[in-house]
Amino acid sequence: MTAAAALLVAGGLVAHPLPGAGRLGGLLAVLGGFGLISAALGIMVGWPQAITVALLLFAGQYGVSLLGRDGIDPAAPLVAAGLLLFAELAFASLAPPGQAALSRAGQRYEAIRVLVIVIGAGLISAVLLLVVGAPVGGGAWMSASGVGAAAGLIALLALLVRRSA
Amino acid sequence: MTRRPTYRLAAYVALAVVAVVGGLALARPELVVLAAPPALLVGLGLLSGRRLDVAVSVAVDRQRGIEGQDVELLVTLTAIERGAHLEVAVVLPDGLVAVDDAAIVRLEAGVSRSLRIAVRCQRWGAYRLGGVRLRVVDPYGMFSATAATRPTTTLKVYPRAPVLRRLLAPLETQLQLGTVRSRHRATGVELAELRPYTPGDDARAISWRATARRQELWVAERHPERSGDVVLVLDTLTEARTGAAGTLDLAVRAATVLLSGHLARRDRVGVVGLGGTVTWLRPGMGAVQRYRLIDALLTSRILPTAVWAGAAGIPVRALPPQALVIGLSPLLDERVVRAFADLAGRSVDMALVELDPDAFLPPVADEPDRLARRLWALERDNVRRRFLRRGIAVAAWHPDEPFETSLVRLEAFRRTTRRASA
Repeated sequence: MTAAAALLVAGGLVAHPLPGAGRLGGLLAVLGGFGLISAALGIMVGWPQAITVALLLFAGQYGVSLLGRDGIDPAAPLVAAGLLLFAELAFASLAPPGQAALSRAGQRYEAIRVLVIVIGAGLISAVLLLVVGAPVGGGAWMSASGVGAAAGLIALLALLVRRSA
Repeated sequence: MTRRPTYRLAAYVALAVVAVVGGLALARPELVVLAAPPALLVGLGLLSGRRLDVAVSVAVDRQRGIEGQDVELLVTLTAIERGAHLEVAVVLPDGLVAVDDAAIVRLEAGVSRSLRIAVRCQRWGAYRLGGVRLRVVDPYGMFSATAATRPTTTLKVYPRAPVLRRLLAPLETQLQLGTVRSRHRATGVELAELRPYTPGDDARAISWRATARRQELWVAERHPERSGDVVLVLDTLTEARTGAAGTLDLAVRAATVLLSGHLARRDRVGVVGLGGTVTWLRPGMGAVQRYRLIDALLTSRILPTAVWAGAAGIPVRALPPQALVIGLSPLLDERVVRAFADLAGRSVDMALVELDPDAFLPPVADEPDRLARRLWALERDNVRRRFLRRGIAVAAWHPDEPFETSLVRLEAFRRTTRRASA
């Protein structure tokens, strides 16, 4: 059931940017189609790497759909929450015995955890979007600080992953 | 417990990095917004997790239970260095079921936490239990850690044994006092016959009513109350089984009921398992013997074999002379049928309870199936008749009917054959 739900969410993610895509419609359809195929393959064969590829393709499709668009897309928090929902459901459907819940209590806990993560992701994204949309001006310093923050985030993640490995 | 990264970790790191880089490259803040939640989850997950050591001990509140009863497992958990959320599930063998679902508990470092888990005994048997599976519940989903402990304790679940109002009486009794009326004459309660007084007769045996009627001394002879030897022979070579229920279960239930009844009547009771290996327990009496017998029954298993000794494999001391032997078998295997026939050839008093295998057969599918079933029924009827012709009482016991009904049938046949032989 989680697998079917994951594919349903994936379908929603792919379909979301297609209306009004204009000349990019073909490219979006190709990216979304590959994403769906990859997601289905990953879920059916039990190949987690394919889920990751699907996740990246969905994010890429969304990124391409933003090209040439004026202003900030207010649906970005929904897409962020949808991507996490898809990933959680897809990974839950192919969790190996060591990672799966042992009991109904565990399954309930997992369901609540996913719900909290998805709602939390939506809220955090919405707050970030509000911050990003604030009229604080631009300029070289802001761009440089943005790049620095992004690089810092990636470096922090790399450091944490290395420390925990 | 050593934690391992889940599939999510790599996927979320990749998503965060690609979204941030894409957002910067395309100058779209929405993509950076996409990167934030997975990056946050990865960061929190990486910061929270370290190795977790948990000490687990399991105790059961009693060593023995009865089918249908609940026993309580006490699982004590202690986190050695740091606390965590744990999912705890007890590993139970078939026949035992946890009444409560597994629990998720929060462990604080160095503090013990006890869980009481009710376990229902669904089927008789001797079980090893105490195995526990633990799973660290990671709220961020980035890491997983599981551990399992081995079973450490034993639980014996006894079959339910309703009290029988009637039992088979052995043809011959032993010398010990009991409640079975002996065929011999001695001091007892039940009148055997009246005869004229002869010198040397006990004065207490004089029947004053008969003496007054006949105007000479008459004495009353009585049947003494003695105990008998009863040996229960279980067929552990073959069985008919559907899922958790089978004829071996019927055999063990019937044996438990019989041994409880006969021991209460102060008979000496023994048991023989006639299967791939022959197991036996010599006849004895008393409460200790009851537990010995039931413990032996709990370990009954179907053991098919190519090396079959038959009745010859049963040692003589397991079958005392003049013992009442009650066979409990579905009579499915010709070797067992021959073994029972051989046993009847020894100087034992024999009765057979046929454990009806029909209840454990799949439903008839088609016409050839129906014909095959009829042929099989005829063959089994023939086996039954072979025993009856030799004067061995056979009665079928269907699981839906009380066991006492088969004893009534056996007793009726035995009474008829006794009258005929007399």
